[in-house]
Amino acid sequence: MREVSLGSLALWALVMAYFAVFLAYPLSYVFYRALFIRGAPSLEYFAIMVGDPVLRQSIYNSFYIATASTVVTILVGYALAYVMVRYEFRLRGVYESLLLIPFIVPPFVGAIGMLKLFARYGSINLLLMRLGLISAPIDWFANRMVGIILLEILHLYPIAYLNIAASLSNIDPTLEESAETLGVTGLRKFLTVTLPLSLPGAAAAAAIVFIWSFTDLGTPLMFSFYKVVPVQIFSMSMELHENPMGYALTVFVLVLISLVFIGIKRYTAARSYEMLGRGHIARKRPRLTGPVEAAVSTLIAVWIAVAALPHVSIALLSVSGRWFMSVLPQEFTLKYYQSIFTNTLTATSIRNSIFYSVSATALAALIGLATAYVASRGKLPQPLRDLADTVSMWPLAIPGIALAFGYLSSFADVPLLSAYRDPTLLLIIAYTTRRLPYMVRSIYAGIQQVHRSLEEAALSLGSKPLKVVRDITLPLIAANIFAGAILVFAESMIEVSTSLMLALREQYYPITKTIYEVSTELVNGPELASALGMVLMLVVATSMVLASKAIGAKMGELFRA
Amino acid sequence: MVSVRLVNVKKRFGKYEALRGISIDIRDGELFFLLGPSGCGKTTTLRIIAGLYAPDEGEVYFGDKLVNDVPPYRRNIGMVFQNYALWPHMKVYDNVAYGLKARGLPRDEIDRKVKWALDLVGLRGMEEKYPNQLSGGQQQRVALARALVVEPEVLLLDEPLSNLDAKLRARMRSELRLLQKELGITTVYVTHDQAEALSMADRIAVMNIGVVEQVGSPREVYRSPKTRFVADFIGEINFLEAHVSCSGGVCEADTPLGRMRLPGGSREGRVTVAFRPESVRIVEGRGLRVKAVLYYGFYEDVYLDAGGVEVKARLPAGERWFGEGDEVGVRVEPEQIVVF
Ligand SMILES: Nc1ncnc2c1ncn2[C@@H]1O[C@H](COP(=O)(O)OP(=O)(O)OP(=O)(O)O)[C@@H](O)[C@H]1O
Ligand SMILES: [Mg+2]
Repeated sequence: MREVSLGSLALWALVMAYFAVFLAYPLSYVFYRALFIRGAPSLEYFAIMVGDPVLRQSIYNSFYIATASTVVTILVGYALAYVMVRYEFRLRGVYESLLLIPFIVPPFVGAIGMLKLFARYGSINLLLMRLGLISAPIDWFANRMVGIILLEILHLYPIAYLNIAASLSNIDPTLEESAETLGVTGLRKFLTVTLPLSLPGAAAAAAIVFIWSFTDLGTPLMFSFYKVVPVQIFSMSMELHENPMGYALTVFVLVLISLVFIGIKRYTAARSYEMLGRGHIARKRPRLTGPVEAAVSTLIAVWIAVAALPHVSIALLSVSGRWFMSVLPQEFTLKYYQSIFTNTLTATSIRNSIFYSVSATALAALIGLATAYVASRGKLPQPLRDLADTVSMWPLAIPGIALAFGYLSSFADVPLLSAYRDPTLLLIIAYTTRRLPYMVRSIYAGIQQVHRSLEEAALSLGSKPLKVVRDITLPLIAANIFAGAILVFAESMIEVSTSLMLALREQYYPITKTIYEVSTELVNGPELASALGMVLMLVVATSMVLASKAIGAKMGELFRA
Repeated sequence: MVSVRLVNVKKRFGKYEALRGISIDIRDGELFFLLGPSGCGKTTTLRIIAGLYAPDEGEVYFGDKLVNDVPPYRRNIGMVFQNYALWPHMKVYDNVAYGLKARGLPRDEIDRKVKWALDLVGLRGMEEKYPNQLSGGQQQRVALARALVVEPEVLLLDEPLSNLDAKLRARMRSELRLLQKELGITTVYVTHDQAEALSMADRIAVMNIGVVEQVGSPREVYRSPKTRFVADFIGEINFLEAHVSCSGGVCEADTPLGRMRLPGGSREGRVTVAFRPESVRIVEGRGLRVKAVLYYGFYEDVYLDAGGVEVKARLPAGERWFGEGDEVGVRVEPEQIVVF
């Protein structure tokens, strides 16, 4: 019996090799190309970047979009979290799940429908004119950034809501009660006790929202708004050989993100308070009554309706036979759902997406299992196990555009991995890498719940370690693997940035890239794209239900020993 | 069966030295107890015998065979974990059959042995249940059946009764001992419950933070504790600071209770004398005040005050002739006194 086993060490090396090749190497390559010119260190590209008016404008626009999205998202998320956590009112339970729905569909699909709704003679203007509220149509998205920001907010507010709700419910009620005993109540209590204590959660959410909206490629593309950083990186990725600025811009994004994360970490570390005696006193949720209850309940319902607009609009678009100069479609048809399975481009992309996603799911399950196992059970020194765990979380912080840019450039001349020849393997690996953290977390949580003595009992009865894993560990974490797999599959199906950047030829397009390409076709483009979008939504919705069933019901039953 | 021998076994966790040189000799077929307070290293010792931990130093022998490098799955042991470690995804039958399957036995033999083991622990008819459908006592029996069915050479039990209620625990003590004697398997039993150890063991190793303080029969460790720790940990005992002087082979101690005769050959000078409450006889006399009397049904505990020092005496109920507040004297026979 050794404390360090060769098997564990080999598994660890395998896991680390994966991250070295498919995470560290591509990103290092990008840094190298951005910071070295003909082998000598140089900041020239960054000088050019600052000097170039288009790039400068793009950076400005991206900051503008990200900042505005973040501010509004956090305000909305805070308000929602506060009433949802602190008060009881009609339909609160229903809202709890409805509020989360928008997060599961990428905003760029919704953009198609929103462009239709908010068009010059789109439903919104027509409705307002018919109601006599306006006399001439409003050009809602005259500034296209407004449309992009709107979509980012409607997509991202659930993140803010969830994070802030968590930190609000973590506040020990006695902290507020002691303020009350000192005569501090109402707004003053909120500003001096509640708000400061919930700020770390809000700050963490702000960081995620900022980075997400800063690096979102799909939505600005749909709005044909090209002067933003992600779209610039996207177009530079198609002229890698003539234009090295893509490397510099990607490095700029990665550095920016690191700064945001470091800043947030500093901020929350300085302000993370140990909550004393948590859970001793359950907070009572006062019930709202009368007009206040009606107002709160209605406002949330209206917000949910607005957040559903992108989804409702593409649902309508996908079945509209004729929809011209009217609030709602005049004729309904299912022909687009038929076409997507007969049209070569769309049908191929559906097949491609399923193939890529299933393969990515299988690969992620293997690597995720290996990573979670060495991290939690490996017979290795603690620092090595922690390293595997930490590294496997890195993809969460790396935006798709940066990873895709790194893959595209660093593997350009590598057989099998060159996106210019055949992106199949590269797409599968990109999907796997991006969603691996979900898989690792899910399996890791499962293994943590399997008490070690369950495995040791099998060892003591004469089973060899590998057989113990097969007989005891695997069956007990099957639900976790399943849940992780479902998440990876769904997220791969709706993966936007790496799909757009790595699939260069039609025969390799996954659904998301096809949606983008088709939506710009004049004849029935938006309708076809919407039908494809609906398919994606269906896949995601089903997956989420399955995943929560797997973790919820099955695990509860399994671990009640 | 087989004997088990640990020679100067040491184990550290990081900087903390959990075992500081453990040497014990467990005889073939013996019911051997590891007894000690929480955190003293009982589980660690047991896991080293099982092969679940490797010792940093020292040797572990099964019979004459050095097993330091033999993995747990080749040691032919049966182990009952403190939390039972029943596999929640397997029925009772499959839990018990697991070790037999791992040994590649034919199906009908597995069937026969599983039935035998379930009979042994009184659980026939429960084959198709899942562990979470069983009571704590039944789970404990399944764990025992699973360990016994492979006919291990060494049976290792880690506080197997600690999760049961008091009544069931008392009944299981005699059942377990009977079973162990019937099967004759060398058994190492870990507990921090001294009553369990005294009542069940052939021999006990009393442990204290990483070392074995004394190995002996229950009677030996109770009547002749070798160290103050053992005396204190097992049963109840009075300690008195004393000064000893001997002349002509007769030793006497000056104590707060007055002069006390000691066994011959006692150490002279400043010592601690110790004696059990039940060794104290209360006699007519002066010098001690009866502070309190606590009634326990078949016995009574009497707390005596000897000028600021408390002494406890235990009498069979009904033998008391004095009351609280009375002044009395005490006698302790020399052979009942231990000197440290
Ligand atoms: N895996 C481990 N890592 C670090 N320290 C450990 C580990 N296992 C045990 N220890 C430490 O070693 C000491 C002995 O632990 P052990 O579990 O053997 O105690 P025990 O006598 O069985 O106690 P208990 O009666 O509470 O079960 C304790 O201080 C414990 O904290
Ligand atoms: Mg223990």
